Amino acid sequence: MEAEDVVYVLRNMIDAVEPGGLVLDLQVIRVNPLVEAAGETVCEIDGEPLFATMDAATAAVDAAVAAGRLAEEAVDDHDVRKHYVNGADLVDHFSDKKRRVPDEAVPRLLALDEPVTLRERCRLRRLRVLR
Amino acid sequence: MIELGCGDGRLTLPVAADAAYVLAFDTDADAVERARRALPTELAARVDYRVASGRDIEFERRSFDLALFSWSL
Repeated sequence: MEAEDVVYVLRNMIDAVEPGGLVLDLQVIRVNPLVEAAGETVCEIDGEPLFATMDAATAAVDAAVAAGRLAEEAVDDHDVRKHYVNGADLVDHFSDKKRRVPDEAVPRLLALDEPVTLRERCRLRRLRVLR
Repeated sequence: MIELGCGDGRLTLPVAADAAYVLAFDTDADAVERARRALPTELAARVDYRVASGRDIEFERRSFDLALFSWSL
C-alpha cells in the first residue's frame, strides 16, 4: 500500500467505527523476522519491503492521534510465530511475497522435512475512536 | 467487527467467536477463498469474507464497534 493510500484507508476504517469503539492496529516492528527449526535459527528474512509501509502506517496513526480522532490506550510488543509444515512450505509461502527468503538459504530450507517457524516482532496498538 | 487484511482468516476466527458480525476483507482472492473454505459452519452466518481493498470496501459508516488491522494498514 502506498503512503497516500495508508492515510485514506485509515480514515476510511476510522469512519467505519462508531465513536467510543476500538481500533486494533497490528504492525511489524523494524526487526528482521527469523526462520527457525528445532529451536535454531535457519536464516533471517529481509523485512525492508514491509518497513516502508509500516513507517507510513505508524505515521498515519500518530497523525490521527494528534488530530484527536484516536486516543492511544495501550501498546504491546510481542513475538508472533507462524508455523509451516516444513521448509518447502515456507519457501512456497514466500514465493509470491514482497519479502523474500535469501537465495542461499533456499537449499537448506527445502531439505528441512520438519516443522519450521517464522518468528517476527510485532506491535499491537489499542486505539479508541474519539470522533 | 471490520477487519482490514484478513488474509486466510488467521486472526478472524478467534475474534469471530465473540462477535455479532464480522466483515473481513483482503485484496488476495486466493487467501480469502482459503478463509471461506476454513470457516466453521457455526460461524458462517456471522462472518462475511470479501475480496476488496481498504479503499473500495463498502460499509455503513459508524456501524462497527471494532476495527482490526492485521498487519495490513
